[in-house]
Amino acid sequence: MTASTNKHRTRKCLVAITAALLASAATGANAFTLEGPPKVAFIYASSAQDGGWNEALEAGRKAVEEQLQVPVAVTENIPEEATKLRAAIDLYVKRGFNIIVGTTYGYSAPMAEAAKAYPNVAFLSASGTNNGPNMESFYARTYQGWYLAGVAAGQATKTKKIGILAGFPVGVVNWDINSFALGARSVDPTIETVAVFTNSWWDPVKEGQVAQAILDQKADVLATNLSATSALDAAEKAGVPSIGFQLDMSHAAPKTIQTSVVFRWEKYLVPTIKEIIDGSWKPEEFGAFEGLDKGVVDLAPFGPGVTEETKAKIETARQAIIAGTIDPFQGPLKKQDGTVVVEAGGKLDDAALWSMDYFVEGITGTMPAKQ
Amino acid sequence: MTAAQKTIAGRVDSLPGTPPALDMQGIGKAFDGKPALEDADFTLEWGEVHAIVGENGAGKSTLMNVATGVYAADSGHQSIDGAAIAPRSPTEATVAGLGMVHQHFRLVESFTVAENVLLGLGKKSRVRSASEAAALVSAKSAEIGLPVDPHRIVADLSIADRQRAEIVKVLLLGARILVLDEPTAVLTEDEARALLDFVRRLARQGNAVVLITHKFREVAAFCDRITIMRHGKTVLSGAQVEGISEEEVARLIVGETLATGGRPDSQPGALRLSIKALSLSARAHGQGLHNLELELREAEVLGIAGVGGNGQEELVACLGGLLRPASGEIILGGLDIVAGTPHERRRAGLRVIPSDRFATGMIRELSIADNMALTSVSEGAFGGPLFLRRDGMRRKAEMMIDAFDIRGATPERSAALLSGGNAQKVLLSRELGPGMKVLVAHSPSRGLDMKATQFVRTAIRQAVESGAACLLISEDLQEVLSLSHRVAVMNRGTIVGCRAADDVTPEWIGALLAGHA
Amino acid sequence: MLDAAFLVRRQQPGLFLSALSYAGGLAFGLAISAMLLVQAGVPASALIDEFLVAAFLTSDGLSQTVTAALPLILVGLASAVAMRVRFWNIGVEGQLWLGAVAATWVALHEIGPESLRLPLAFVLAALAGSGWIAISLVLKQRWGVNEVISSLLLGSVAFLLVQHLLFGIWRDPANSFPVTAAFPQASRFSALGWGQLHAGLFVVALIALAVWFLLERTRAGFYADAVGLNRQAALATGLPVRRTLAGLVLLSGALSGLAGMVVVSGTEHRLNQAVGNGYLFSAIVIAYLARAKPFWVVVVALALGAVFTAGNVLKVFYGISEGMIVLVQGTVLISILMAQFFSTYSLNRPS
Repeated sequence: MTASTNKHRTRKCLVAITAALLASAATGANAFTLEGPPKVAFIYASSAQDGGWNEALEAGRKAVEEQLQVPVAVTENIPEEATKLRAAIDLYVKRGFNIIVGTTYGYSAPMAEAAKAYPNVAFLSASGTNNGPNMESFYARTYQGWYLAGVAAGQATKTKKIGILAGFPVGVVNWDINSFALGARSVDPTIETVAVFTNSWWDPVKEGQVAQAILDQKADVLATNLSATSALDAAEKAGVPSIGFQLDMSHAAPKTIQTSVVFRWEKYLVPTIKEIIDGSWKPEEFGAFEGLDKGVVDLAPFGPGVTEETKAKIETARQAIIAGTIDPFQGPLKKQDGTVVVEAGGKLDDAALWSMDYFVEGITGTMPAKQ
Repeated sequence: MTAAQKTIAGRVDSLPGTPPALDMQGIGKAFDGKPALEDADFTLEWGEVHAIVGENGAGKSTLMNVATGVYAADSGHQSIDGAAIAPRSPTEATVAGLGMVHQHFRLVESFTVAENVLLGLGKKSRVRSASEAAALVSAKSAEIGLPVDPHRIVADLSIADRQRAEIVKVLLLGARILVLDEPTAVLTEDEARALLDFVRRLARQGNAVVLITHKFREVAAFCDRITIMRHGKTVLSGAQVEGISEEEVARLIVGETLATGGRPDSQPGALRLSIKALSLSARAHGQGLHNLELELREAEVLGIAGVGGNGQEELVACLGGLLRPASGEIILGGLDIVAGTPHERRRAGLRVIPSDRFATGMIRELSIADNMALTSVSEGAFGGPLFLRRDGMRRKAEMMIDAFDIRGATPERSAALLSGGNAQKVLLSRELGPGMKVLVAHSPSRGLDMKATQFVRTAIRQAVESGAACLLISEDLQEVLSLSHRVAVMNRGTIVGCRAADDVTPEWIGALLAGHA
Repeated sequence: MLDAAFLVRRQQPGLFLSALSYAGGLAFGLAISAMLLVQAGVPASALIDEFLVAAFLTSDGLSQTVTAALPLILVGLASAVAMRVRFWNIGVEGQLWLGAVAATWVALHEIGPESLRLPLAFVLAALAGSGWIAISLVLKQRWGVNEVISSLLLGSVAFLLVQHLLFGIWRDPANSFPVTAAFPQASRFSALGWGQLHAGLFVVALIALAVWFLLERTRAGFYADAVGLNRQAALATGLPVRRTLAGLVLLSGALSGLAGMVVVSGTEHRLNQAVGNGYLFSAIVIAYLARAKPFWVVVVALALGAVFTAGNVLKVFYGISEGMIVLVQGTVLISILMAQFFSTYSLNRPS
């Protein structure tokens, strides 16, 4: 398949989604109303205490339970298969649960089907792609946080080489890496970023080895885009500044950690579920996609080695992003190979963010070929 | 005068009042409601060799399995050397002094003889190492005059060697009463004679031996007393062998007198099968074939005598198409079938009765009807190209069961449940069917009772009289001599001599067999 | 103690005895499982309700059970067919992945006219599955490579291929996630309006019937039994051993491939990294408990579908962990196997 047909497919897909949304918008012009007392259920694909993604959502769930005083049920280990997920949803709905939160992108499409079958139940899909009159996907503009992390790394590096390891080459991962690199280059445009995919979401041993390999290439700041802390352990041992992800990972590298890019899902989940209960919820057409402004993405408290100058620079960047005066992916933006993605003055739209499948200029590393 | 007090030549007398070695009275045993033993009695005295004779399924092995604790009796009493005992396991029986050597040896093939003994002695024994066990084996072997090398791996031993190892093992475990279940069925004449000599010697040393056998010759030459069983009952209990005739024994075994066999009444005709320069390289545990040549005519039985293990299995496998010879020709009806598949050979008219029925002839787990149809189904019988008419197979099986008088058989019954003789009848009913031109029969009456043996021989005779050619390969010289027009002798993978049956002399055949060092 | 009692093989276990021991084993296993679950915090009163009622006696539960059973029937048959000829197909998952890939290819690339999409996917999935197992077959027949090893390893290779596709050309075009776009309507089995049950039900029913017919009523089925039970004897009696072996092994692969197609076209409507997981274990369990008999494969697959349904209930409402669910399944399986053992052997105690 050539790049152009691929682009064509993407467009076709978006057109289809938009058409579907328009069609549903006609019927769903009114806010969603809940029937019966609110009962919330969270469904996880693996353990809720995974030390990363699920645990960040689990923190959000606890906040919902405490702040809204509603019953919240939890089910773990439901595989990303339509039959298994649907069965769990059916069971919850039958017992009066009317707010269902799915926690992985693999749940999105089956949840959309369930949403059609149960129009009076609200569905929230973390990192999902489907939306509708009673369903909203939500994700965070993590790249904004990673831009700030990039600033921190740019300030810290002396070798002008920083490293990041990540799981799989998907859009939400690629934008973190790219934004990290761009944040660092906003400090010094000569900084080079080494990016390596581990091709796994969780593999502590391999992550430790990859981290060491990156350090061996003379990178002197190490960031991890994964849930395990092996990279931070390696950095702590080498005395190299590090950056964590998803949760505050300072426990793994108390001396060298700079900060962690963290999710604060309660900032989305609590108000959204409150709206659902109040009867004022209107799902976003393209899903909820909040960032630093709402605080859904944030940085964990800084580590001991972060200078006041760095902190000030980060704060300036944060305010600029919130104000909209900078966008990490504003033009001019070039790919690794030098082709221009965005001209000066422009910026990437959300669809382009989601389908990001390239590294930007300044990154050393191989993006697996699409074909 | 009781049997125990009567003296015969050479036998150690039991003193009056000495308890019998093994005494079983009124033993009953049923399997799933079917009686296998009914009120069976058996008394074994110290110092004697006691034969138990009977048809397949008469209850000989079951009785001895009860005695040795393999099965628990439903009723009856048993004592060993005067002490009442109902052994709950073979181990318990052996500890009490009673050990059995089964037809299928209880030896771990990948272990050495000494290791097997060590394993058999178990935890309670003081013997802790294989080398101690090896010393025991060597000592016992020397004491009783039965050569066994304790250090050899069982898998590398010949059948006769394994049997000796098993006997030494059982004796080392403490047995003074030895039960041998058809020990000579797997042996050559010489080996059998050596074994029976030993058995007799063992008894004379004050032990006691039970010999389960089919062969009257062995009874007459080596046993003191005989017990005959029929349909789970004792029909003759502990009679002196002296003064009892073969006819009398045969009558008691089968309840009728048997006709003795004879050669097919036919004149050999045109050449049917010729094997030219057949060679096969020796495999891991087998004998090779070297330039083997033979010719077989229609309406002729060519008997191949020889000590087992001289290439008979390999020759049959090459003929049947299970082994591919290195070189040579097998010409059947003018056609070289040496490269043909088993299926093509069958179509050319070749039929094989293998020595081990359930290895290559029949499938134990399948029903009798399935086994009977095995060959014809692949030739398109019973139904269309896709659909299989099982009712047709069933009817055919019913006919065959009637025609061949296969006892205890219904079409649905699993072939595994048949006795040896009846299983052989199932095989014959299938192989002697239409289209047969050459019959290769390898030890067709091995392990069968007298009646079944007669049946097999009659079936072969009739087939040959109606024009078939038969290659009869057997280690039983009597069988070869009684059926064959010509006799060939096989030794070390080739035919070492061949002459008309009438010209065969004991000297000639003895010399050729003795060529086997 | 070993010699206190000993086992005697029964001559021919009766049908009644077999059925009784099977039921006894099942009851015993369920009783132990119930104890485990109560121990783990499921109220005893809820057990029957959740286990039996939810899995079989409610409309939703039953449709869920049947839906889950459809691919299980196919992989169970795949395993059973290979078991009949004593070929250990440990690569059921690999063939399933390949079948799913074939069906996904037809769906995403819109191959052929719409009305022929499902039939085409059906044929290609079957071919892909049998093509995958053909590698193990050839390796075994040519070079004597043990099929247990080769088919198992090829299963991993198949999964890597799926990953390659999902992270490559088939990743979600909207966000690059390793999930394919949803299948067009023409590539989905139509819903039957009863839970998630879909028209694949009829396909699976026909396949099951056809496999039953093949094994129990045809010449090839007869050959298969003979070849499986005693290869040497089958060869010696002139049966087409190689052809039978090859035919049934390829059929086994095809059935696994079709299971993959039924999963993606029936319920998932897309390919992701999770759809094929766990089927190998299920396939072996089903074929073993059913003693490779097609009718019993269907029965056992439905029972296993029910266990999944009930397991889901336990997970959702009682916070029972995945490990506990597997433990319960294992307990039931072991109990039934023990019961089978005692229907084959009788325990003799000296009187």
